[in-house]
Amino acid sequence: MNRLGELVIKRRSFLTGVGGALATGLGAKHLCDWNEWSLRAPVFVAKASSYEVDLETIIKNGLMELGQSPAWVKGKAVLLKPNLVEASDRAPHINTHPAVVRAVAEVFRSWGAGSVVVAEGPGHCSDTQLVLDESGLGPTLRESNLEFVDLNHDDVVFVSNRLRQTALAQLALPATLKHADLIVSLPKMKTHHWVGVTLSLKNLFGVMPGIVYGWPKNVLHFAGIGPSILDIAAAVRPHLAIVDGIIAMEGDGPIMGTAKHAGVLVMGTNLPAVDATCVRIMGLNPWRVGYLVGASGRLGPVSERHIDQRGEPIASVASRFEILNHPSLAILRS
Amino acid sequence: MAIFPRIEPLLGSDLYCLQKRGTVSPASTVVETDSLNPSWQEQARRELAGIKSSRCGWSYGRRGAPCVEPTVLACLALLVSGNEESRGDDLAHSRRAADWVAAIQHPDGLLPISQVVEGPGWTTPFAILLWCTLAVHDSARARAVLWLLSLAGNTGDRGAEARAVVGHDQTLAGWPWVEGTHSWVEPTAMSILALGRAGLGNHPRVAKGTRMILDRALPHGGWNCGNKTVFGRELRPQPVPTAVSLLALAAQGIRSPAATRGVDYLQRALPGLRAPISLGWSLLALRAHQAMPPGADTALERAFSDCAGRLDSVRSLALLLLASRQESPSLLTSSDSSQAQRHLTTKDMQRESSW
Repeated sequence: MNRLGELVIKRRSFLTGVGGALATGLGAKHLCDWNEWSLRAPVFVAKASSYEVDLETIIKNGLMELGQSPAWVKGKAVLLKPNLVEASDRAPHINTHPAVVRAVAEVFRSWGAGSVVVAEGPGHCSDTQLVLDESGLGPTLRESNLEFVDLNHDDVVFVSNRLRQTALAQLALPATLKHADLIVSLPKMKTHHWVGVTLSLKNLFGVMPGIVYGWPKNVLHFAGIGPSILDIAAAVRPHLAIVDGIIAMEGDGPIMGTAKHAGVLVMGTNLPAVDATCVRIMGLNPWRVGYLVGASGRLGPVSERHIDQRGEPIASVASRFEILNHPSLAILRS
Repeated sequence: MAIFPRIEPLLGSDLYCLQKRGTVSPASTVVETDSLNPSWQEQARRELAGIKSSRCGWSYGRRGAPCVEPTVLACLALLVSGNEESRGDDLAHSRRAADWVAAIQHPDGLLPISQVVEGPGWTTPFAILLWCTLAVHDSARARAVLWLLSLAGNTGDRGAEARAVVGHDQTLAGWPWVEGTHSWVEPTAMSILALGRAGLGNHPRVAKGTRMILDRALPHGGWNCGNKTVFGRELRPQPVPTAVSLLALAAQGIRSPAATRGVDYLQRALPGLRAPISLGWSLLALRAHQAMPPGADTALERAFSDCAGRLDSVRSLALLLLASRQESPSLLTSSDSSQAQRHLTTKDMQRESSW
């Protein structure tokens, strides 16, 4: 067992993630491109103009385009991990829209999942119920008879940190993850003022229990946000990502940014590939996002030529996302 | 080494000694009970008493190992909301829980989340609050207080870049959630409350923590979980950080514009607030600031009906019960610092001066 304080040995520098990309330099693309030469992953991009369209059909078609079928889901315990950060009913673009969560749950139910639960540990608010109420997800879960697990206050298990991108020897994870056969990351498409973007990989911060890591999960900030993202992804190993980019966030994300209508859902079974595609849709350069550079070759492909793009071409849905006007973030555009 | 006074028990052989302190009238301590139509408080008490995860304490859910935070909140709620008839059981529950909390304390004074998860220590103030309320485990309490005094959030001026990005004073040390990280509002406020209850409300660390709380107040009212502004943007207030900050300021007897703005924020937020934990903490804070809004009882009853029977209702039930009692803020904010100062040893004085 651990006293987490003993694990925190590395002090965070400001703007860690983007700084990491800067440090990696222009050689990163070529080096990592070579590292991931044997990796291939399909990613499906769908247009979805609003939350009122038939999201279930779009998601079902997308999964089938990715080669999945009801047999993949049948009888399995499915855990949906949306992105709920903090409560604000005036800024719904902070959190994954409830309509997306419901649609994904209904697809898995219709495909014969043994169970579907929604689970999250909000990063900025110790009262999870408040975030559920104000995000609108709480009422949706009740209407849809979907169980919710508060990962911030779940039983905890410790696992060894296999990837060791941080100095953390072990990671504390919610016991609920152990019982899931399929873990689905359901993030919001957002810019992020520390690491450039927050998508399906960064969304995994939310599985880390607040009772162990605090609110916000400052231990992981000190360990390095980008490296922590990689360690968590390697430990949790999600099976699918579906990114809510219908109303996304640009500017000062992940909390104070402005709503941006991007009109897309992006999905795939390899999270770095999904995130790299999202970054391209956002008009940014994935090789300038430190943790994607770190993920390349280790967790999946980032290079466009290693991603089998299905559905809508990126060019047909791409739109320029504003980023915070700060020198450390300008590199995301280059 | 007994460095702390034996605090006058808030719960003793007489009816809860809050009455003796004049903070509450005897009549108001008794929950109205009607066996055919019990009040929501009585229902909440029954449910809370019935969902202990073990003989010793409560977990966050209804299964799993007991944990310090829900156990302490449940005990305080049962103790403050009981009546003559229930007092024996309430005390028995709470003393067993207090013994269990003492049993899992680390030798250096830290209180872990539970027996299973040995860190990270932010639950230590909760243990102090329970032990102070019951006036038990003096030596465990002393160790916990010393550990708390030894813990501080990371500080330091990290240069012009950091100052331009983060809008608060990074040199002010409060308390972190986890050792080795920054100070945050909630653990700092809880530490101020616990140290105050342990008679150290005048300690320099408490004064510095209070300054940190005031520094982190949002310009337009309330508190976020920690930051005030980032990249020049004022963050949004949240009920729980605001409420515990207001309780800490009340414990310190501080009336300030930040507190007034915090109270205003909570009063604005309350009509839309149904989440029991946020509602409970908010009403506790408003009680402490003599600013209870009309309709609070209705809001509590409605929140109870929402959370009754849920798997994760321990803290919700406890905080709703605590918020429903006029005397509850005293369990968090009362202190007797003059006695504590007399009992500080030379070693502790040296420790004090190092801060």
